[in-house]
This record gives sequence, C-alpha cells and structure tokens, in this order.
Amino acid sequence: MDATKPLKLMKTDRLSNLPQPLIYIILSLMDIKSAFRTSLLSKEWKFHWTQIDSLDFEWDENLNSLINFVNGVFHHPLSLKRVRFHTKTNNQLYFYEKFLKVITSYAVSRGAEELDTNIITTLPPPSFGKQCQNQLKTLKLGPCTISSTPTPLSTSTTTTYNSWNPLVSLTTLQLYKVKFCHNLFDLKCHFDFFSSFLNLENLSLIDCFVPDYWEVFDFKIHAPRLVCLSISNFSIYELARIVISSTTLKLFNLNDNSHLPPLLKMKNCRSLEMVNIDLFPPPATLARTGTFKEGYIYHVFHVTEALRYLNPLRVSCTFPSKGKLFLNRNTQVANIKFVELKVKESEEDWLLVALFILRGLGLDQLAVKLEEMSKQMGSGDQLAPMELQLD
Amino acid sequence: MASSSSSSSTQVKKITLKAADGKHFEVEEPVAMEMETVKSFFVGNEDAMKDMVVPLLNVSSEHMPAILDFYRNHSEFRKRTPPPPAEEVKAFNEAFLENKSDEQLMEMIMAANFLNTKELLNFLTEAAANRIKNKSVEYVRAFFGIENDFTPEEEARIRAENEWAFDGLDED
Repeated sequence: MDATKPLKLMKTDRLSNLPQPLIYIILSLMDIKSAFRTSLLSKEWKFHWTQIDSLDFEWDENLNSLINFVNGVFHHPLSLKRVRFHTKTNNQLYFYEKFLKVITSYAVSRGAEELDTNIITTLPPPSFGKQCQNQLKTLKLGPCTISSTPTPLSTSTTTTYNSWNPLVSLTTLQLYKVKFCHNLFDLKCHFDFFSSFLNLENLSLIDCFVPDYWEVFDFKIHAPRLVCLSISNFSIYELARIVISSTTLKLFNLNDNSHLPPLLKMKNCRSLEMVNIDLFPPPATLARTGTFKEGYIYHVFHVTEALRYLNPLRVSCTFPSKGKLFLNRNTQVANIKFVELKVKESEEDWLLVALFILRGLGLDQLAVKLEEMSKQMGSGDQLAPMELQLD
Repeated sequence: MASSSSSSSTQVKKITLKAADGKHFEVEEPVAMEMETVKSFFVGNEDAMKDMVVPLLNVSSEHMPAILDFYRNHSEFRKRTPPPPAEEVKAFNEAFLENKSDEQLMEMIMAANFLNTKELLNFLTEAAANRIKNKSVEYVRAFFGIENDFTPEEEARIRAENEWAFDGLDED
C-alpha cells in the first residue's frame, strides 16, 4: 500500500518530517538555556533557537552567567511574545532596579506582550516607559513594593491614593507578594491602584499586603473592564475593606489561610456569574479555645455579609482536622437559594460557623449532608439531606 | 452531575475516518468535529455527505485510538460542571503519555498538526519540550534523530563561548 511509505520514512528520519514551525513551538516551550543548547545539535540547527517566541531565563545569581546570557542572546534579532526572567534569590541587589529596566526595555523592543519577572525592587511601576504602556498585555510582578501619591481630585476628607503609571494596554496583571503603600505619611486613606488600567480583564493578587500601620479604610478594586478577580491571602488592616466595584466582573475567587480573611464589599457587580470563597483557617486559630475561635467565626460572618445579595456563590471553609464546610448557591434556578453543607464530623463549632455565614446570606433553605457521620454510625449509605428552615 | 453520557450514544451520528494505512474508524460526530481538518472537510463543502469517508493522510492507525480517546476525555472535561479537579485532568494526561516512546510522541505531534487541533498539539509539544529540557546536547540529538556535523573542535569552541547555557544539566 502506498500510504504506508511516508510512515516508514518518518521512522528512519524523524527530523526531516518534523516541520520547522513545530520545532520552533517546542523550543519556545523550553527555558532559554535548553533552547540555546540546540544550536549545538548540528549546523542546520545552529539558528533554530532564534525563532523562539518565548524567552524564559532562570537566573542562578551568578553575575558572569548573567553577563554571558545577555551577550549571547540579546544581539540576536529575536521576535518575542513573552519574556520571563526569574531569579532564585530572595536578596535585593543594588543593581536590580536598573536591571529590571534593562529587561523591560529589551522585552518591549523585541515586541513582547507578556513580561513575567520576580526581580525584587522597591519601585517597579515608574520604570515602565511609554512604550510599555501601549504594548504590554500581560504583566506578572513581584515581590516588590508599589507605592503611590495622592490624586489631586480627591474630594472627601480622606485622601484617595492611586496612580502608578497605568499600563493602558494591559489585560492581565498578576501581583505576587506585592506591598502596597503610598509616599506621603497619611494614615487614614483609600487605596485605588487599578482604576486607571482601562483594559484590565484579569487581576490576580497573591500574598499581597498593605502594612497594617496604614489604617486604610478602603482598598478599592474597580478597573472598568475587569472580568476575573482572584485574591489569595491578602493582608490588610483588620477594619479595612476590599471594595470591589465592577459592572463587568464575572468571576471572583477569594482564597485565605490566615486567621483574619479580609472584609469584602461588593458594589455594582451586576455581571457576576460565580463567587468562590475558600477559607483555610490556620490550626492555631481553632486549637485555642474561646475567643480565637469565636473571633474567627464572627469575622467570617462579616466577610460573607457583603455577599448577602449575590446569587452565584460557593463558599467553602476547610478546618484543619475538622472537615469541610461547603456552601453552594445555585444560580441557574432563580429564587431558590440552596445551600449544601458537607459535614465530615458533627462538630459543633463549625456548625456554628455555618449558621453565622448562613445568616449573612439571607437564605430560605438549607440542606445539611452529614457524610462522615453516617459512616461512623455503621451504615454504608449517606444520610438523606436534612432540610432546615431558617427564619 | 450530568456528565457521563455513554447511554445516549444510539442517537449520535458517526463519521468514518480513514487512517493513512487504510484502516477505518467510526467516530461520533462531535468527537470527529474536534479535528479542524475533519470539520473543514464538511463545513463549506456542499458535496460532502456525512456518510463520506474522511481520509487522514498523515495519521497512522496506530495512534488513532489514543488520539480519539484524548478528544473524548478532554471534551468531556470541558463540558463538565463544575469543572473537573486539576488532578483528574493531570492523571489522564500522564496516563496518556505513559509508555509512549519519543518516536511515537513525534509521530503524534505530526498527526495533531495535520488534524489541526490546538489542544492536542499544545499538549504534545509541551510533553516533547519537557522530555528534552535540561538534557545534554547528546540526549537531544538522539531525541530528534540528528546527525552531528560539527567537528569536535567546532563543538568545543561553541561550548566554551557559551558556558552559561551548559551548566546545571539533568542526568540523561
């Protein structure tokens, strides 16, 4: 059969059958060292690596290797979509800030739309020049400090702080271990870092914090086109609220493993399709009896109070060694507010948490599934959901 | 959860695909339409009847079952609400690559490229990249089946000039 011939050929000489665009795709998925090394495979391969569209450099802190990397790579006319430059160090070296500028302007000059770096700096945003502002679509930053100055337009008695050079073209922003603060010593203030990001659709804040000596009232998040917002382990002054205001927001995820999840306020979030809240209180919070546990419960009640009128909602609270509380409010069926509690042990404390949260949700109906309990009782079947009527 | 829908398969139309070596495969229409190449055979082609056999010139019958299995599972993952846990998808993907030789992987990349399905192609090219990154030049040469045409002197010179790229390699 004629059709078998190309297959036989492919087995003896795979290289000639793999089209170059596919080779470039594979090389783009590797770090720059691995990609660069393919220049030594054969003469034909000498410049294949220069067709990569993604440059990923993991720096080992050796200054010579950094210089050699720059010398070996930067003079090639690469055309890049994405640049990732990570260091393994936790130290902040004096030249980092300058180097971030070098990397940034290199990435932009090569056409990159995505920049991902963990170079530690104190003031990254001002170092993004004009060209960045119109070209970068995805930015992943941190750890670093983002600091701002007050806006002249503030009208209320408290000052609103915003303005790091907005990157107007940006659609995705991920900040990791970023410290938010502002330049002037004004302890009572609002923070508003994102409203000038006119095209931002995805915002992700991971392990970010506002030092708690700033008694921030509100930490505002309202980029005009925001669609997806994820906040994990955000730490802020305990009476401050995260005020989320976006008519375009569809998905909101909150993940928190501290003893004090941040307070939320949702405004004008008309398009929300799903809210996921996952809480993992640290063991210490619940191990200590009395005020700590109650404090947490009380606090969670406040966190979820903001969500009272939101229909699409999933809240889960995982307690160390004490099972998981799972609340799910179905959005599909209007008017029915349904909550399922998956209970692993019949622990009083977190039923208490549950009831607190439920009060904040304004529910009509509640189903409780006692999973583990039924097993302990020796019956293999699950208990039928109990339905409770709330006031 | 309304996911596994194997019982309703009596209703689903089938499309016949012909692998490079002439073997026929009957495939449910939605699964076949995951392949852009098959889709474009029918879409905008008035003469094409759904009972026509679609020839797939660059896909060996050896790989068809695995490829179809990938489409079936991943389209089910996409449709499921709530979405499947990341571990489940990962477990499927790992099992998919297990026991696949480098050669088979390359052939499947070619097939995915011909079938024009982004998801499978992305998955396979990433798997290939993972197999060769941080590996020695010799290992990668063997992987791609490349003949070295540098003289030892040339090779030594390039290595010396680009030391930064040659430290910290994994064991082959």
